[in-house]
Amino acid sequence: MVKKIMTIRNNFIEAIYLIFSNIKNKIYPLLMFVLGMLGTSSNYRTLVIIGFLIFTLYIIVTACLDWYATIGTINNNFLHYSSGHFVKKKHYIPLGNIKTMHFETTEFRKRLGLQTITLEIVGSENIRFTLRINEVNLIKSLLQYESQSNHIENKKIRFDLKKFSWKEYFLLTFSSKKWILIGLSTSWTLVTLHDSHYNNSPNAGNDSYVGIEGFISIILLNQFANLSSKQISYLIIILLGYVFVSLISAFMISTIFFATYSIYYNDGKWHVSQGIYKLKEQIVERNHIRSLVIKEPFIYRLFGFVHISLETIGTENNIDEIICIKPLLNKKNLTTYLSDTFPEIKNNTKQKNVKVTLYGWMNGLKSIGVYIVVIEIVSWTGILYLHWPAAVYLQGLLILIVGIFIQTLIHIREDSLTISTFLCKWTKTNWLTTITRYSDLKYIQLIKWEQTLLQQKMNSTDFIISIYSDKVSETYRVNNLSSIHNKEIMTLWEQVSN
Amino acid sequence: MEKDNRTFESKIVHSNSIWVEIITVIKSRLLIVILSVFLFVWIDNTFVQKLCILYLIYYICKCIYDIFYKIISFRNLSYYLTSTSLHIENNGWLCTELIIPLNRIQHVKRAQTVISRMFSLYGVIVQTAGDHEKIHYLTNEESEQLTTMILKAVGNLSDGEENNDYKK
Repeated sequence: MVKKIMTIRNNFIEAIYLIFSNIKNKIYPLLMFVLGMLGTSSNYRTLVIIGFLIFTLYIIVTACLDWYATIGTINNNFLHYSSGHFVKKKHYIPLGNIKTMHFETTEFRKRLGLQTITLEIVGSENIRFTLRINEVNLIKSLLQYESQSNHIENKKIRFDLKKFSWKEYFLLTFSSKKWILIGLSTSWTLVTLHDSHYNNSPNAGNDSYVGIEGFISIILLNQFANLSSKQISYLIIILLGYVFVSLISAFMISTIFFATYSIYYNDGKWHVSQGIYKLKEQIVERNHIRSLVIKEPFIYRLFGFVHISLETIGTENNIDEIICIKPLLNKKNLTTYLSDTFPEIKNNTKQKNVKVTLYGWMNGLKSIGVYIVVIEIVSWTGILYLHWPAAVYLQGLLILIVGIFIQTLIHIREDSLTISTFLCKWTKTNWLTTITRYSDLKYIQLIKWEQTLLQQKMNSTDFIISIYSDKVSETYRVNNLSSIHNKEIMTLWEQVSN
Repeated sequence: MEKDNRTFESKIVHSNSIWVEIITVIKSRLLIVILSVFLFVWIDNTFVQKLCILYLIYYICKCIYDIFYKIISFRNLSYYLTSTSLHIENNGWLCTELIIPLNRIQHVKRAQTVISRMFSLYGVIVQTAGDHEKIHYLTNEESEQLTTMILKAVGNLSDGEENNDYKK
């Protein structure tokens, strides 16, 4: 069999970029230090300048050496990766250990015909190369990640506003902290721009205008009593305007993001492409998928939707490592979608499995009991012992606890653990989110149950599941399940794990 | 699980382990206690002094609870090894049962803290790819025997399985 061999090295433009980023990250803070020293005393002026120049030269030389020393060679079975100029490092990575491939390009790199490829390796650091697009395509074909014709079709319709309805775009925006934060920061920029413009305008002397600095000082110094009614109404309008603009910005950015989002499954691989300015494409092999996660955030729950994502083996649950395959799916269609896309889940239910689940209001009460006791102790100690009258307001938190209890009461019955011959499934609910995880049994490391004295009386158990991970420990806990099947579940776990 | 399958079994937990845990519990909170006493003596503020007293009461209660919890746990700990898995059980205040299949074990190590060294006791840590479990505290001979038995069982399992590639 002819060996497919390819040697890859970063494009030289990347070396220039590396010099630029090193200068930006290392020299700039050093320059401030040097200027500070020269400003304090000029006795060491020559010495400091020489030292600074040597350091700059060192950065440029090491960046060039780094570029020269970083080489990758791909053959039939291995990726040979060598790096380091003073200390040489060589890695021999079996191609089967490449769990995902990411392709990124910015507008600037795109114009230069470059693309960055990141290979995620099981149990090792990521490998990253910036190459010409034809070289990237060659790597794809060598590693059998070659895109098929429907990929091209997907590329053509990359931006499509009709991917989701407006209601769905709304849900996608408001269920994510990321988009809300982007919206808040964008509109904050607009507010500060408006503020600086207003301060320079002829209306600057207007009494009703408070300004950002004035507003912050009012909050910090608690000077609300000194404000005129006109100023208060102006502040309220500004605040409402700020929130409104934030939400609109978040909605717009999220809509553009999801309109450019595309996914397809082909030849045993998931291809996910996303990004507005920075286009990112992820390819993950099906046999590197560790678990399937179905998430139901609070706002999704209200409208009957779920979110489906995949975790690869060795995942650290970083946002980059979780591959979202269905940002929004109607819960009614979930069973059909799972049986079509992951037939092993449907087939598996026919085999031997043990499911434990328990619902009882006593369990719900127990879960919030600790909070109630703590609030009461802190509150009454504050009032009676510390003579701190404000502690009475802590009782207000009990309303929140009641809310949590009602929410939990409604949804806690979904908590369950199912073990079958090949799969382990567990669902965990709290008052905000419901998360269901399906994981291949070969990735489950240990299963443990725990029972306190109170739980023994209530016949309930906490199950702890540990899962294969790059982190030292990754465990999930499902509380207050029925203890009737403890023995059965442990026996089945012992049988199927070997 | 049939008792006959057990290749190694132990319920012996060294009596000194209770002292190790008592010292460990006290040590872990000592710094904050010293800080509380320091604040109580040096700061002439009734509110702060009352807070320090509250913390010290909480600390004493927590220490007593932790010590009793540990004593009950140690008295009820048991572990055994079968041809395919390691079982750790505790029937104390908190009942637990844990099964680690031998094919999930990454490595086993013996460890000593400064305090356990004073009593010549060891802990055996069983590491998997997702978590670790500690069996403590054992004498040198017990810990060595347990480690050897686990490694032997893991070795037997690997020899017996031709297809032990994790990813297959």
